[in-house]
Amino acid sequence: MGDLKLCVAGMNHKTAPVEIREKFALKDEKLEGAILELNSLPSVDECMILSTCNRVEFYFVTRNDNPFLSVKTFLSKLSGLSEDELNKYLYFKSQEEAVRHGFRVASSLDSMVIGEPQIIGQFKDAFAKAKEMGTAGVVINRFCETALKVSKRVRTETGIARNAVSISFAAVELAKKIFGYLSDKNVAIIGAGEMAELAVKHLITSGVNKVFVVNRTLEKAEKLAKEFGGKAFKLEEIESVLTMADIVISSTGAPGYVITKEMIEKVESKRHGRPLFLIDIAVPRDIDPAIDKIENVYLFDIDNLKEVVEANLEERKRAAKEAEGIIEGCVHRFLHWLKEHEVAPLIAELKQKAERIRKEELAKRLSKMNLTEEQKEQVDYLTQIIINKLLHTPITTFRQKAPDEKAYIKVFREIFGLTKE
Amino acid sequence: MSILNTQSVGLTTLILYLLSTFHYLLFLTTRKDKIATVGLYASRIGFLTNGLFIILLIMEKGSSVLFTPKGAFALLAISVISVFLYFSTKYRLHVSGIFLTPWATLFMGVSLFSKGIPKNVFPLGTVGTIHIISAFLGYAAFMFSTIVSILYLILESQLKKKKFSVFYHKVPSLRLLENIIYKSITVGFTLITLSMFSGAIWSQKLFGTYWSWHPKQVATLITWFIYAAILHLYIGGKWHGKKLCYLSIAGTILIVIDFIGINLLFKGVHSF
Repeated sequence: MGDLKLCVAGMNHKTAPVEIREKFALKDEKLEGAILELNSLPSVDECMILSTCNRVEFYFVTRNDNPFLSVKTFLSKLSGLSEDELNKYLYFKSQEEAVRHGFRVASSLDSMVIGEPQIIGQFKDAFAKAKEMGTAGVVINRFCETALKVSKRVRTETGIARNAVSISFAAVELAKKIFGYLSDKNVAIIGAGEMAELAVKHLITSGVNKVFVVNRTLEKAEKLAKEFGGKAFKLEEIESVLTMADIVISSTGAPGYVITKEMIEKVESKRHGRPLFLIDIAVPRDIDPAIDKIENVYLFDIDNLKEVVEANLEERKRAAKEAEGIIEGCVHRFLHWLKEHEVAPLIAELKQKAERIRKEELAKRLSKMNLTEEQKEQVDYLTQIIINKLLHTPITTFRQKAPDEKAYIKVFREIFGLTKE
Repeated sequence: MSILNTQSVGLTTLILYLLSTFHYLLFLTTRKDKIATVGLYASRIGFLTNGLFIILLIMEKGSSVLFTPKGAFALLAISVISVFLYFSTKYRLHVSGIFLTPWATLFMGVSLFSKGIPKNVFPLGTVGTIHIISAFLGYAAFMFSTIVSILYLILESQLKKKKFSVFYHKVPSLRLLENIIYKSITVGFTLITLSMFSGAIWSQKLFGTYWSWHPKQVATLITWFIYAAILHLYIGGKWHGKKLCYLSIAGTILIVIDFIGINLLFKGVHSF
């Protein structure tokens, strides 16, 4: 038997197309069955399965020198793919590579959109499932807990998830760049559209003051206003809405401009220089682009929002590079723990053996001697001290050297007559 | 002064400010928050050694050293750093370090390599101390408002041009920047007012007159009126955003002309 190893076999959106990934898609009972089956393989000590729409990964702990041999047979049976095909789509990593991979996945560096937060929940769920099924032992427990800690550090220290990577969130981010906090700002939505409504919903979550809904027909406006808890207006009332609003999201199907430069110039005097943030999601555009020239007015069309998203994605990539450094340190610390962890049971066994001998001998001798309670305590203490002092050097030397030099383990076992592997 | 050599304390301060400047510039390219933190700590320690440097200078040469370029620039450096530390800690505005630490470094460098032999000797007293310190802190506050104004104009132009660089990601909102500009101008204005009144009282004590129509006094009075106008217009809701920034920058340029020009052109109480 070899060293204790953490391994992973898996595929993600980069290595396998969806039609392959769906063959592995595991949910509920199927997932539970697969975990138990994987764990029942003779070479597997502990295991966990992470299954999301972008990846399926099988983490397991083994002492087998050829860790993937039986796992491949299992995967082949599970998916119906031949082992050749598995080699084409799956990655097989062990030890350092596997630990690094796991930490990168949990930190969302391996995700399609770097820094997306869902993976953390999915990773937690996978861990919880393994605990529930009883397949998570000491190593998987430690691995998952460390991975989640690493992920948290990456998020707080690099700010990887700080910038918006969707159009609707980019709109909220820009609003915050202009206004700081939104609690005293009013938002107006002109027309209706999925993306515009989503942006308004995000703005409401960010705590905007009032919502105005403007539509060609009052009926439609009222319907949407009810949903947002806002006030409905007809398109003819747009100028008074523009006076009150600070953020305007326009998404009508109108062929021409719904908001013209003249309109803004007219309401500007009533706005007393309050900044106005306009978002034009409509194609063809609803807002005259010349408006952007007016001071204190910020106009963003759909392409501009895409540019914000692009810049933010770049920022995330940069943060990801920083994150790799954090992860690297944690990988080495985990591997060190894993090595030490192998040694720990042997030390515990030696200590137990010594204690057992001491107790037995004490029981035998003390009954034959005529000692007071106090003297008995003294003898008990004395024997303890002798054992501790005698074992101190071998144990500390063993703990330091054994993780790197395997020969120590064999010698330690033989010298102290501990159980065979 | 065998253990604490004044000049070496000054040199330590300069090195710390250089270190801080270097890290802030590195932060601009790498964008790693940790690097900005190094810059911040270097500035914080530099603030302490800068203070020590001034105390040692005064102990060595008497309070009149503050009327020499050495003392004045050391005071200017610590004023800039104190204002920077106050606002960057309060508003987490680390980016301002990129613009402010080079100035503190420059002032400290000038101080370190200029002479500290006083020409005119005035008894300093409480009023004199208040006059000098409030003047320098006031200038530093105006300088800070200018730097935040530049940040505002950069972010504003990026929002208009739809080009997004490090400033978009690291600078807070326009509203907060404007708020900081207003606050630092208020602080600067209060301090300059204090400096003018204490200066008048001091002048009365020394020369028997409150006001002597020295060009520097006149220029400061003009600056005072300009800042009073800026604050008035801002509070009245007429001038904000970019206009406030332009005014704030113009005000600081005026102070710089005031400070350098008058020292070069006229000899008198306020020159070195």
